[in-house]
Amino acid sequence: MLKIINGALYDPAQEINGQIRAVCVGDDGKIRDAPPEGQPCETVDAAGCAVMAGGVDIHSHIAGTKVNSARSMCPEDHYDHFKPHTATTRAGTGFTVPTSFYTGYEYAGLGYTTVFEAAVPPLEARHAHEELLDVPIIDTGAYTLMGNNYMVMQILAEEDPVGRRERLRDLISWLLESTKGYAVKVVNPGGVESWKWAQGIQNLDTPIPPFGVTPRQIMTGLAEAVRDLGLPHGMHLHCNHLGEAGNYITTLETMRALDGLPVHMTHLQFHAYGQNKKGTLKSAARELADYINEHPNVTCDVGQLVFGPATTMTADAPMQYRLHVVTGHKWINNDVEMESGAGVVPLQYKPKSLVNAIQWCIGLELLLLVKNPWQIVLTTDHPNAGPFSAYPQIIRLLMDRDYRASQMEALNPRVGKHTVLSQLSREYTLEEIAVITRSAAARALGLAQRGNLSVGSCGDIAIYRVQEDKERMFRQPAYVFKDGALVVRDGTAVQSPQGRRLLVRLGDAALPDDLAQEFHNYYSITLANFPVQDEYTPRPEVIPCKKTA
Amino acid sequence: MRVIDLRLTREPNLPLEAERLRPDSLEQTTLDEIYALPLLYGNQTAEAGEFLRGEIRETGDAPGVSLILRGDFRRVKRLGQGMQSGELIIEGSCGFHAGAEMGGGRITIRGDAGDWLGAHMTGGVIRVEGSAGHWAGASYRGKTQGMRGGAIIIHGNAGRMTGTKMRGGLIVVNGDCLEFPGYDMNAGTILIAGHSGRHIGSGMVRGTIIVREGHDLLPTFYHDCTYQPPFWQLMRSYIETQGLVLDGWDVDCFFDRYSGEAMTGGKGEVLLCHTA
Repeated sequence: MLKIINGALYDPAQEINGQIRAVCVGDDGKIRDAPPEGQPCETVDAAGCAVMAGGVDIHSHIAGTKVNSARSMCPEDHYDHFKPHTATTRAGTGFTVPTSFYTGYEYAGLGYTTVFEAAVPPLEARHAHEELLDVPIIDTGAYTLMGNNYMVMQILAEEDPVGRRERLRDLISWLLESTKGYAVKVVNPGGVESWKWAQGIQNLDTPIPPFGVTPRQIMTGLAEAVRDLGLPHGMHLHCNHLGEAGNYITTLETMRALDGLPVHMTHLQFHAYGQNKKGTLKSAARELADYINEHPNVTCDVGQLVFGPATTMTADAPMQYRLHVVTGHKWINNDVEMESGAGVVPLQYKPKSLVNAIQWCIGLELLLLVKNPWQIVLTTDHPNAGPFSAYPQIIRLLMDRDYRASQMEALNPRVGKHTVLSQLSREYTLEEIAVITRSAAARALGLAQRGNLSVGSCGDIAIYRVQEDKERMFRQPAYVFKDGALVVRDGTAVQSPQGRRLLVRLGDAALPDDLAQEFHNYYSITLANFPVQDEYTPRPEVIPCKKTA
Repeated sequence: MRVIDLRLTREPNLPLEAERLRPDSLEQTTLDEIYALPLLYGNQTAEAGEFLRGEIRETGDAPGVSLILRGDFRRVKRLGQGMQSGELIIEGSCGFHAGAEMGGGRITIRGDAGDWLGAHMTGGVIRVEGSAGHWAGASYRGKTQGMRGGAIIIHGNAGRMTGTKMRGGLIVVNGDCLEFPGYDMNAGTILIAGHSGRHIGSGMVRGTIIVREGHDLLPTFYHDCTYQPPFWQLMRSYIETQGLVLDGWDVDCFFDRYSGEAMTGGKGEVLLCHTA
């Protein structure tokens, strides 16, 4: 039994805001009521500290083929960043794409205990799970890419609306089951497939070859299936036209098209760009924030830009190609057969670059303009907009107006014309930080036992020493507990246990016969070799689906 | 001037990483302190004194340190890495990464140098009286800029990928050079007085590569003119002050100027010299 006393609790899910309370974790790793007097227990004195649930990252690229390609492509990312092994932890290197073990230690070292790998093509799922096995401490899960899947589009092109819905549900169940995925991820729906046919998409109603379905049909079809299946997390959506000036119109149209359906809008910063008369970038954060403020069911994460090196990696292959052409930086492209694409381009974000400075401001504007912190989650779309290790700095930017102003002085001076950040005076409170870094993410993911400190929840607890400098405070938690066991002391991992894999169970779905024939005809592997075996998830935790009507 | 004269008493049979042996960090150090310097030896740490013995003497009033290393240092890596001032003389051959990332001072290598000689250097002069390995003045893998300043003068031959991604400075190879000199170079000058391997200036964005006439260039290089570049006289006399006289490369040589590589913008140039 573990008992944490004298700490100021920040548990927004229970509306506890800085009250001094004890937290107890039982031997089963779950939070328990206080034990009766006299029962022996290990006591941790958290006087002067903020006690929060372990952090939850809703969107991060930490494992899988493109992450690994980025590692081999960027030796320069490893020269100056390494940690030697200790008695309990392994050695590791890398800054924007750390090695798998290092990723686990670094995340836990910031107080994060649950992280989701954001984009796994079904064919590469086994690789992602193999790598996640080597990410220690943190609980992980993976989203399965479906937005440009040949079979999904084939079903959506069918005439019979009832049969279509049923068959799509079956296909999604089968895909999630066989890839051991947690949620449906959609990246640039239709856009990647369209690019493979040397075409682009103009808007949500552009037909996509070869079946002629539109991005709108793909998104609504998948989101309806997610609702019907009652998946714990909504459709995780990376909209069309990422990174293009004026793309907020597409983003708004997408949000309207999916109104009422379970959707999580991811890395919204990249989708909140307005357009000046000359076609250059400006902030459209206010337009999106206004929509989100009026629609309390919408959740999003921000994808805040961080100055310095980054490695962009996404299944949005056409976007990566454009980025490669614009920047001239090295590029990897990958065509995942019938399912998706992928690209990797390393970058350097600079405060003096007007575009980068505007992007930086847009992310913060979104965080400050969305009134309800439960609707927006802190991410950097690691490592696309910057590494997750920059979270403490972003927290300081949100909590400290003067620091924000001082950082803005280093930006390109023309940034003020295109953004409204300098007019925003809001400062986040510690409670709101607890919301955007753990509670809101856990709620959006349907994780009832994470992101809060209620009785029965996981004993994942991060304890930060309260300091004036919030970056220092969140950079180095005094203690981090995983299932009640001490895993991090003063920001350094002291243990390396294996985390759990978060999964959904949707029954024994099988691929329909006609699609199995398509699979046989066109995939490079046989159907029997496709599903990821249970051996790849030795510590599974099944998150129940919502009850559906 | 402080002269630190060390002799290799025991040849290491594993690579020895000697980035601590650089003249500018030994200005105040006693001989015993030098012997106690920890050096990575294989996967263990050894003390410099296990391999080196010697003396320290003061000569004249000139400031600075002259570090003289005598023996065969081919298994000793990173000699003079990052040095900013002073003089390092290696009376023998040395291993990989000699003078890498150096910012100033002088390195003289009487024998041969290993790979990555002067990689990422930003200033100073390296003179090799023997031959150099591959990747002289290059960038480490994944980095975008190699050598950015200073000079590497090689009296013998050089290996492959000489001056890869270099961004400034001068590399002179008196002998022959293997394939891909000036690969992806961004700026700076490479002169190869002997025969160069294939693919000269492949992927170059800017910069100058000078070779003798008779070399086949890539099809992405196109002829501009034949002329006498004004800088040649200056460059030639600079190379002579560094102790290298180029045989047959007269002051009044004519050069064929080729622009390229056309695939990457065509702002670089290759000069083919009509040598005597």
